[in-house]
Amino acid sequence: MANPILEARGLQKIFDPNSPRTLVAINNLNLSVEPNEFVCIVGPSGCGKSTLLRIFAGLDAPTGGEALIKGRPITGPGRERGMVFQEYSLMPWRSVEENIFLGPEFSGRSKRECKAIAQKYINLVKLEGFEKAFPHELSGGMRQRVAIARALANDPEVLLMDEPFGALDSYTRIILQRELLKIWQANRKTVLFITHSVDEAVFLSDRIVVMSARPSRIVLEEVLDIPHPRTQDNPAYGKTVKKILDILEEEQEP
Amino acid sequence: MRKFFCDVALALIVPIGFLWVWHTCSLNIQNEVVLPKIANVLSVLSHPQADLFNMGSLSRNVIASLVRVLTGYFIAVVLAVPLGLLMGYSKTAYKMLDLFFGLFRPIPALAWIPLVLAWFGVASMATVVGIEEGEWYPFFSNIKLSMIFIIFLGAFFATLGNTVHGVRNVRVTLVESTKVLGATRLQIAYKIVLPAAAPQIFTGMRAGLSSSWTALVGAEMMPGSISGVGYLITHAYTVAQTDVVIAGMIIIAVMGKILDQVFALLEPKKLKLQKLYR
Repeated sequence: MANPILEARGLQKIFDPNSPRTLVAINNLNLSVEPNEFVCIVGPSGCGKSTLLRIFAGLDAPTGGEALIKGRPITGPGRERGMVFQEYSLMPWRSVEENIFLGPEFSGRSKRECKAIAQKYINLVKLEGFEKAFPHELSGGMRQRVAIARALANDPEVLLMDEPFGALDSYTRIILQRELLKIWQANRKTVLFITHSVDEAVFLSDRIVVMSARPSRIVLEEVLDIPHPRTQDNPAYGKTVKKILDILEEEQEP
Repeated sequence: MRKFFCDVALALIVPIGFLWVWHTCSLNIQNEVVLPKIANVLSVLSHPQADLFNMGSLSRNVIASLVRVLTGYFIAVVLAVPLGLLMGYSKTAYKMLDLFFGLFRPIPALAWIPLVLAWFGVASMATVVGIEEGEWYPFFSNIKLSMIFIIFLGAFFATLGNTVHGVRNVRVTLVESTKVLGATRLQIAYKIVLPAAAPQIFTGMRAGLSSSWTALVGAEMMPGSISGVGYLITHAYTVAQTDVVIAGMIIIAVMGKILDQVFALLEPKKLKLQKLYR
C-alpha cells in the first residue's frame, strides 16, 4: 500500500472542554486517504464530518490524536490542500477571474500569469464568457464552478470539499457531479468529499466512509469498484446505496 | 415617467400643507418674532451676500460652518477608520478598547462643551499653524479648536462603531476560504477584510458626516463663536430676528441633505456589489 496522503490517527475534537456545553465531536477516529483516491464521507447531520474536514484543512486544531499530510502533522492551512465550501465563499467585489486567481495572487504571481491561470480553469469548469461577471450575476451552480476552479487554480494535491453541491437543485447537482468526476479523472487529485447524500457518495467515490452520530467514529468503510459512469440501473449501485442507508438508519436510532 | 411625477407629487403634499399652515398662522398671529412670514424668510435666503445685522452674510457663515465640519470630520475619519479596523481585526485590541469607547459613546457631543472650552479656550487653527496676521488670519482664526473637537466627537463614534461592526461581521467563510488558499495575515486583512467591510465602513462615514453636521450647530452656539450658521441663529435670536433664525435652520437642513447626497453619490460601484450577493 502506498503512503497515505491524508491520515488521522486517534483523532479527537472536543468543543468547549471543561464547560457544561462541552461537545465531543470526534473521538478516536482513524482514517487514511491514498493519493489520487476519491473518498466520500457520509453521516448523520452534526456528526462531525465537517469538523474532520476542517481539521485536515488546518482551520481547526484537534484536541487529541494527530492529523497528518504526507506523514507531517497539520499545523495550519497550506497550499497543497484546497477547499471548496458549501456556499457564499466567493468575494462579491471580485469578478469570476479575479476570484479564481486569488491563490496565485497571494503567492505573488504577476497579473499576466494570474489571468492565464484563471483562463485555464475557467475553461476547465466551462465558464467561458463569464470572466468579467460578478458573483451576484451567477446561478448557484456557476458559483460553485467558480469555487472549484479557484481551489484548483492553486494546484493543490488534495481537494477538500464540504458539501459543495448541498445547496444546489438536483439537476444542477447531477451535472456538477459529472463534471467533477471528469476533472478528477483528468487531473488525478486526491479528493475528500463530504456529503449527506448517499446517492452522491455512491456516484462519485472510490471509497465511502460512513460516520456514526456524535461522538463520531467510523462505522463502515466501503470500497466501490463499480465502473464509471455509474447509473441507477446498475444493480451494484442500488445495492450499495441500500446497504449504506440501512447502516445510517441504524445510526439515527437513539 | 408618469410614476416619477406621481412620486414627486406624493412627496410634496405634506411639505406644501406644512407651508400653508405656516402661512395661515403667520397671517393670523401678525408677530414677526413669534412666526415670521414665509416671504420674509425667503427674502433672507435670496440675498445670501447681504450683511445680516453685523453678523456677516449668509454665504460667509455657511462657508465658515462647512470648513469647520469638514476639518473636524476629516480628523475623525482619519482616526476612527484605522482604529476601527484594528479593533475589528484583533481580538486583543477589541477586548482592550471596546468597553472604553463604549462608555464615551452615549455622551452627546454637546455635553463636552464646558470641558472643551476649559481646554481649548479661544485657541484656533491660526494658533496651531502659527499665523497671527495677514490675509489668511481671519480664515484660520475662525476654525476654533473647541468647535473642531465637538464636531470630531460627533463623527468619531458613528464611524468607529460601524467600522468595528463591519470588520467583525465579515463572513467567516470568506476569511477561511482565503486562509486555505495560503494567504498571509496581512493579505487577508488588506485583500479580504478591508473590501468586505468597506460598505459598512462607508455607511459609518456617512452617518458620521451627518452627526458631525448636527454637532456643528451646537458647537457654533458656544461663547466666543463669531461666525457660522449656528452663531447666526443664536445671535439673530438675541436681536429678535426670527426670520434669520428660520433661514439658518433651512440652510442647515438643505446643507445636511446635500452633503449626505454627495456622499451617497461618491459610493464606489464596487461596494454596491456586496448588497446584491446574498
